[in-house]
Amino acid sequence: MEQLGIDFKLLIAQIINFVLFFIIFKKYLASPFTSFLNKERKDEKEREALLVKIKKEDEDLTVNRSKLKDQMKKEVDILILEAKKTAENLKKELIMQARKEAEEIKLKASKQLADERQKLHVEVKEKMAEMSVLIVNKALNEFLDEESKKRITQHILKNLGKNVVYEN
Amino acid sequence: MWCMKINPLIKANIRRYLETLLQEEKNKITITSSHELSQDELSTLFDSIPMLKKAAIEYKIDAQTMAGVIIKIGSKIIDLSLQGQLLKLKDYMYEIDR
Repeated sequence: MEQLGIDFKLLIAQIINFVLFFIIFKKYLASPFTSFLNKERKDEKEREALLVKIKKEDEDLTVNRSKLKDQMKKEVDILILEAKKTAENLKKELIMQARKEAEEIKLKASKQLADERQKLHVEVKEKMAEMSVLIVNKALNEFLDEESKKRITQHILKNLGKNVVYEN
Repeated sequence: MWCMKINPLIKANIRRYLETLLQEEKNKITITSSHELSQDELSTLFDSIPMLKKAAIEYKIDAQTMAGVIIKIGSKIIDLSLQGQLLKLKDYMYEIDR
């Protein structure tokens, strides 16, 4: 072996060295590094799982949102329909009330008209009576001469007991 | 409120005077006609209204009466004139309208 150039002592020392190096390397370098790598791998897996979960949740959320939108749209449509019905009813009520008030006003106006007509009628008749008496008064003043007046006075005095007396 | 104090004697005199005037007015009789009444007409009148005989009568002529007489005794009036009849007619026409 010495002829080949191999030194056993050196070889053994190097082997021991290598073993020691291996042990030290494994204990103080490889293991932590490996555990670090494993941890990283584990974290990566966890992150992937989380991502998948988040994606799934996002999809679920999107589906829920669209469902909610549809539901809201339906409810809004229902509300609008109800509001339209209420507005229609209110409109009909207002129209009826307006018609009723118009009828009342018409009735009141026609009653007022009738009253005014009656009043005018009475006034005209009164005026006519006044005018008639005035005309008769004037006519008698012009027609009656002294003789006629004396004859009328005598007639009145003769029938004094039968006359209705006008007292003031 | 301010009150005027009058001598009671003066107050009594004024009252007496006013009462006399009032009594004269109450007893006053006025006959208004359109023309002068004849004795026959007057006697017919006095026969129908006896109280005219006792009192002093004032005679008035008023063309407004047209015919007939208006007798005023104190505050009462007895309207026997044609004018009065026309007024009665007017009132009657008013009444039948209502």
